[in-house]
Amino acid sequence: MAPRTEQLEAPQVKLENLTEEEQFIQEKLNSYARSISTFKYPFAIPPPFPPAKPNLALSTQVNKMKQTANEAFKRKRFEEAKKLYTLALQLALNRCSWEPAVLTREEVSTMLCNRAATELSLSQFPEALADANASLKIRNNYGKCYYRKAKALEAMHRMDEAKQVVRDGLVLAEPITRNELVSLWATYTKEN
Amino acid sequence: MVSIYAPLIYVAVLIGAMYGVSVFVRKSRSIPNEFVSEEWFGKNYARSYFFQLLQQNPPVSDTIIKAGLVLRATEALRQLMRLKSSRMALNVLLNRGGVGDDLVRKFSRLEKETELELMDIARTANSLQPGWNQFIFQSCSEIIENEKILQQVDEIPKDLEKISNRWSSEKQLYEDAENERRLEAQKDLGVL
Repeated sequence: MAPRTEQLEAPQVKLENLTEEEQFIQEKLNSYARSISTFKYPFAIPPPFPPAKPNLALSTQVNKMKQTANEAFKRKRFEEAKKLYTLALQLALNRCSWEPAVLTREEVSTMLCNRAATELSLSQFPEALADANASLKIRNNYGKCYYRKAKALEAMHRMDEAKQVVRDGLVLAEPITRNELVSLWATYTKEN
Repeated sequence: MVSIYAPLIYVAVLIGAMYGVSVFVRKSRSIPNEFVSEEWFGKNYARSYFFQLLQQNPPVSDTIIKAGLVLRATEALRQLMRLKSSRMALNVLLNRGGVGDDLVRKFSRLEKETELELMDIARTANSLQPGWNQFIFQSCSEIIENEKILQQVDEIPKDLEKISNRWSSEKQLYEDAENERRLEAQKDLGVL
């Protein structure tokens, strides 16, 4: 009984005589109202995040998927790892819009970067480059991603761009993964 | 024989011309609509939709109104961000003298209007739910960031297409070069 009425409770709206853009806004509003009502916030308002807690259940799910995908990668089952990373990406993107973007940013860029790694091992170089590009656009200071992008460019014989990427990566705010980049840079300069 | 009406006609034409010119200049200088500055950004559909929602005659539920307000606030915040970035460009142009007074006046009017809109949104938010105005804009900025991330992920297929086109055209060249090198190496060995 109770679940049934809760499902019907999600309020929707439908106005007449709307232009195309207004219909688009109406759809956005309906999906937004639906997701807010599934969370049952006290006043149907997205809460402020320093007091409230973001949806940690989603984060743990994404992390679990990432770990299984990492295992598959270590065992060299690349197809499976790629599928798992894609699933984790879909999960991370399903997070509600009003939750802190920092979490989404980290999760999505990590998933994209790892997917690029599996694609590199599968020799799907264009896909790897596209994923690495997107991940860098989302998170500028992600060191591993510069490394993967440089590897992808190298595999496609675009050496100048690869060197530029490594140089950018060494400069642009790198947290921890500079070591890989430094060793890559050493190999590039040794080739000369 | 000079007509007696010549000076009268002359004066009449003169006054008529001056009147016409003054009407024309006044019309082109006066700002016709109230929100012409909003025409800078194109029509604000979120706002018009919100007002349509408020005027509905069996009144819509509270959740929908709050959701509509969030959409309106997101749109207003986006406009504010665009204005802030354009302001810097405008200052540079002003210093170099490439821009007239009209544009500066229009721009400051635009800023003022956006400010008033944001205050209006904050007041409406507070009336719908006391205390909401503190964090509605925080939620809206998170929404904007999350939407940017989703947009980046959506652009991956396009990027992929470009890269794979380039790679498929270059791959053939590299393979040919490799084959030639192999043939030459074989020839050398054969000769030897």
